[in-house]
Amino acid sequence: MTIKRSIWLALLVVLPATVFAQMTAEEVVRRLEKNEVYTSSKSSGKLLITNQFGTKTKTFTAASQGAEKLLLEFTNKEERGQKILRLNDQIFVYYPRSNSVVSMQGGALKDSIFGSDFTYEDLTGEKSILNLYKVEFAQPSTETVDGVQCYHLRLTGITSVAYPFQELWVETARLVRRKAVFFSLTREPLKEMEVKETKEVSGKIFPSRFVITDLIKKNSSTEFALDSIQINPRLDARQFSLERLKF
Amino acid sequence: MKIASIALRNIFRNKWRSFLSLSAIALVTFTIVFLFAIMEGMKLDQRTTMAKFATGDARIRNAGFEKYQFIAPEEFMIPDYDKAIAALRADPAVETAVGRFQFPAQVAVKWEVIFGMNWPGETNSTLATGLDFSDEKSFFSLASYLVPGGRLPGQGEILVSGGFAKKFNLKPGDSLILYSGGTWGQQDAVLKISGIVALPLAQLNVNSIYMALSAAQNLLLRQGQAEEILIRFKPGVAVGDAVAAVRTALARNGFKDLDVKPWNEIGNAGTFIDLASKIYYFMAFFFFILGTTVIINTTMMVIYERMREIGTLRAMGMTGPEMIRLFFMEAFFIGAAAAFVGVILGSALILPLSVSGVDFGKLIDLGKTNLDISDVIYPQLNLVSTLFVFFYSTAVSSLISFIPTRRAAKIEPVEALRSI
Repeated sequence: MTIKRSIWLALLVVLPATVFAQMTAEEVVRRLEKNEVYTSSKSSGKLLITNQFGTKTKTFTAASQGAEKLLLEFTNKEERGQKILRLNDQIFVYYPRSNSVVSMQGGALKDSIFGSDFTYEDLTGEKSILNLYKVEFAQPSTETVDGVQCYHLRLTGITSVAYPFQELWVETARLVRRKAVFFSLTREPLKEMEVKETKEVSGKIFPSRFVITDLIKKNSSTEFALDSIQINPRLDARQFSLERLKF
Repeated sequence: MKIASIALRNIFRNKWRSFLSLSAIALVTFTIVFLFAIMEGMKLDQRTTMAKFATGDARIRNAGFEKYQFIAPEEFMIPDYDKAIAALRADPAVETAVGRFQFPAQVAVKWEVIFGMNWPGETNSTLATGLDFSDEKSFFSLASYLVPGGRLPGQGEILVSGGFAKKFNLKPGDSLILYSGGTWGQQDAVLKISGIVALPLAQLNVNSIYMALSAAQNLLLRQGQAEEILIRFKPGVAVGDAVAAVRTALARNGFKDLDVKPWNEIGNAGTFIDLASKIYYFMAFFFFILGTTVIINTTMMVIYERMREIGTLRAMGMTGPEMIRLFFMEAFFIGAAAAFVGVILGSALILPLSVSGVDFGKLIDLGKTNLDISDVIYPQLNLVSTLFVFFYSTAVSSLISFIPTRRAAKIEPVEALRSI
């Protein structure tokens, strides 16, 4: 091997790491969130809730406005017409049969949504990660997840958050989430999220299929799959209001 | 010498002393008889409470329910409930079989109407039970616990336990919103209160609500299913044999995954009843010790305070053995009469109370305890234990007389006279 060739090879190995290292952990998060922010979205999809006894499917339509407003409406037979409205940090659930609205507060936020591995609390948290967590690279700062090179970040809560510690893997090339593990205050792993598929729509990359696994329960996971998505469609802003929940 | 007639004459000669002695022993006997009856009543209550509210004579559930009831109870229902009930009722040993659903729920008792929607301020945890009211007559018989002004619920209606109604000031005609939760799925309904039930079991009375089985099936989207079926066998049927027959009948009708358990094998039911019995016997033992002490004390005091009389009798020529026999006979007559009076008084008190009951709920809020015991206990007179108490009281009061009399019999007359 010639010296020149050896230098080129060394550069090929070292260069990516050097380039990645130049980006701070905060910068990675900023660029990750930049991809996740859009004016509005409209989508439909399903939750596949799997436990040791089988899989249940819940279908839904969703609309969002900014990072603060989200309206989920369930369309499957069992929960048809039930809606979850998120306004900033507040969660409201509309029940059509009793025409009632329950504001989810306190311990109720930790309740599972329809027996899935999502809790109402998982829907909250509109603030930037950087407002909620101290972010730093893990060692090593990059790791391969399912053959994809990712930044490996450690997040430590700096305010009251649902998960005081997180580990986050962000694709180095596209700066989108690939995987996350959520920990309790005692650093016990609670849940794991893995992105299985992404879709690029209007220049934004979406996790169109991801799986949340409850690490405490046995054989329990929930797959979130988007069937269709529109970015920045025109939405009636009033649909994110409490007075329109029953319609 | 006619010792017996002298003993009787002595008893009547000092009526006041004899009366006090008899009263003390009678009171002890009465107390023991009464406490035994209360304990028998508590034992009976626990057995009937368990059978009525939880186990029946036997209970049928899906074989997986027990293991997964806190994770995924909805996966382990009894399928084809009507077919199962028909198969059970065809069994000659079965008197009745009824299906139930029990599920935790949240209940909103008041709400505001804003933007044309109901907004409950808060919800409260409750235990909801779906029952087939027409079939439950011989089991739960909720109708008998209805507070005047109420009636059994139809579709869209609900019964509320007395404690719950009192806590939230609810009355028939009021409505509440019920939300099922957890793995049952998030279902909801506005239900009208058709009546209030004052349940005898404090724990159930605190926060239970009851609806028609079909209403629970509809709410939970479990049409044609039941969580459990309770069976009551005909009187005189051996539960073990009947359970085996039920298993065969269900298997013959294609039910492969159902678990039929006799009441004493359900959870800790049998062990709990056994333990409760032992605890009661242990308590009874202490009552006996206490009662025995009173009898001994009374009998011995009566003899010791008669030392002058003993000295006189000895001076007049009564021998030691005659003295012992005399005091034994006196103690025996008083003891037997006192035990008889105690048993009669105890029985006279227990018999009406065994019908009307004793309301312990007025003395202590059993809802705040973990005791599966009714507010009202019906004391039970047990012939064997009552006879035992009678003979025990008589024997103790008679035999204990030997101790002071034997001592007195050995004392010289002069010494006995001087000891006063």
